[in-house]
Amino acid sequence: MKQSLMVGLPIALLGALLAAVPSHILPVCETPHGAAPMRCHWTGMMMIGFGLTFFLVGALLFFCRTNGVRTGLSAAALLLTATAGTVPDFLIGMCAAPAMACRTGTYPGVMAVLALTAAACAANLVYLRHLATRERHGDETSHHRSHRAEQS
Amino acid sequence: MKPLTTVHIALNNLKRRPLRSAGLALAVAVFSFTMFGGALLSASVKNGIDSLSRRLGADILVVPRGYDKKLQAALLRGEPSAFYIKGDLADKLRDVPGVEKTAPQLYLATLDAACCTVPIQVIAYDPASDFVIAPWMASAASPTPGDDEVVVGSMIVGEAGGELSLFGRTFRIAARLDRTGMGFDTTVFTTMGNARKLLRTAKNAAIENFQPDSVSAVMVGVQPGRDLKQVANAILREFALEYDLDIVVAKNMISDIAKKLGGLSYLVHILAAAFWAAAAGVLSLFFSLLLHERRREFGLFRILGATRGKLAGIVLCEALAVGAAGGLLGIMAALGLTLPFHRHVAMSLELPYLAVSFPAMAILGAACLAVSLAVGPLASLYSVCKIGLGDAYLTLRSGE
Repeated sequence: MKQSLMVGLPIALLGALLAAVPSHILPVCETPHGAAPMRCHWTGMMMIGFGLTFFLVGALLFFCRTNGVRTGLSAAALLLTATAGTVPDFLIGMCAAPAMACRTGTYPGVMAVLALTAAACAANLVYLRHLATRERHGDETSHHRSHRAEQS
Repeated sequence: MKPLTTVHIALNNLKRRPLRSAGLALAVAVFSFTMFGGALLSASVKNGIDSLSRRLGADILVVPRGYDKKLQAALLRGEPSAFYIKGDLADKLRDVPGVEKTAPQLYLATLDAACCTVPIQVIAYDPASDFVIAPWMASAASPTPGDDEVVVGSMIVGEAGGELSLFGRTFRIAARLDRTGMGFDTTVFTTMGNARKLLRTAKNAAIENFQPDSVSAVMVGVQPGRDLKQVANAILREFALEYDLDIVVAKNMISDIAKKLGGLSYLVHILAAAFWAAAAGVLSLFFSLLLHERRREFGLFRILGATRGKLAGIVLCEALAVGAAGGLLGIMAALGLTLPFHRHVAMSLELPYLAVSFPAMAILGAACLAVSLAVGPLASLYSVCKIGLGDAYLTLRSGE
């Protein structure tokens, strides 16, 4: 339970936060009535999608008990953060004017949450590798013990 | 094996109880975050106010009645406004006793068509009579805009030599200004001639109360030694009825903003002092408990030949390490929050805001770290004085 919380909860919470940044916490620029939505609007929508994906990955990490699957999910989430990080700068972009709401608030907010998500995924990978190494050592030790018992 | 130096023993003691050490460092970090973040905020607003007072130039600003707040919003935050009075006022104001010079300005509000739907302020000035904009523009190595040319603020999209569309007419960007921390960052500057030409040909510039010779505000320079209040009253007496005027005294506007900064700084200082006291209290309590918990350990050290000074050194070193870790953590967190979000903070504050330079930031950080470093040793001073006072053998056997 403690392990599941440690590996799943941070990513799920950060995913929810990522979805909330462009929609509620630091919203993208408002589209004036009758005007076409600006680029930041679509970037915001993408971030909501990525946020929900991270939330689901976090939930899967919580419920899944196999360390190999957890490692795979964490690695995939890490790659997803890198992809999500390219959306505001390259894939879609934000408004060009530095004084606009999406540039002053949403962009740094989204990037900060993505950086934290990447850090959480990397920490998961390190922790799961550490667990795997400990398990392997444990197996080897019990194997040696049983081998010695057989010899004696 | 590593030698048992004071530093090594202290660091190992902290490592042995990682959660407790992290909790103590966190108490210092909260104080350091508040102090450094608040100091950065206050220094940036102060920088913004200095920039504003350097660039305002005029002593008195004359605007149509009811538009004094709009003028302040345009100057401080670049909020686009358009208001007009008759253009001959500038010439008439020169005859008022005490007035040295006058400079008319024309304000237009438009949309930044180059990028997205965001309103921007256009300020047109007359280079022949201007004494407000041209001096600092020249010091920023930005030329006066020529025919069909504009000079843009640092937060307007477009590079020098590029083009900018205003009311469907294309202008060449003659130069970009450096950051000013005030509304000029989101302002486009051009000459009065260009603006009038633009308004004659503009298709979508529906402007109410606009006459061909209208201006938005007149900047007034008062003769040295003259009382601003008396000159302002004289202007109101002579022209208030005819032109329906309001007056903004620049000094009062800046002192109003400075008062807001004073309030902000006061709050920051109070919070920092409260968190410092809280951190000192927590650490002091912790070290007195620690002394009690580790009295047998210290007794053993004494029997092994450690002096009271050595034991005091260990505890002081632990306190210093906690202060350093917490101080650095708080400073990093404050930097992580203020650097990416400084524009958002500036806009939320609605005050002139010019981020401090990196050397100034480093000095503030060093000062904050020094205070954070001091909190640990100061809080542990009482406990340190009591270390090793009792008999070492009895202390070692206590509790048996």
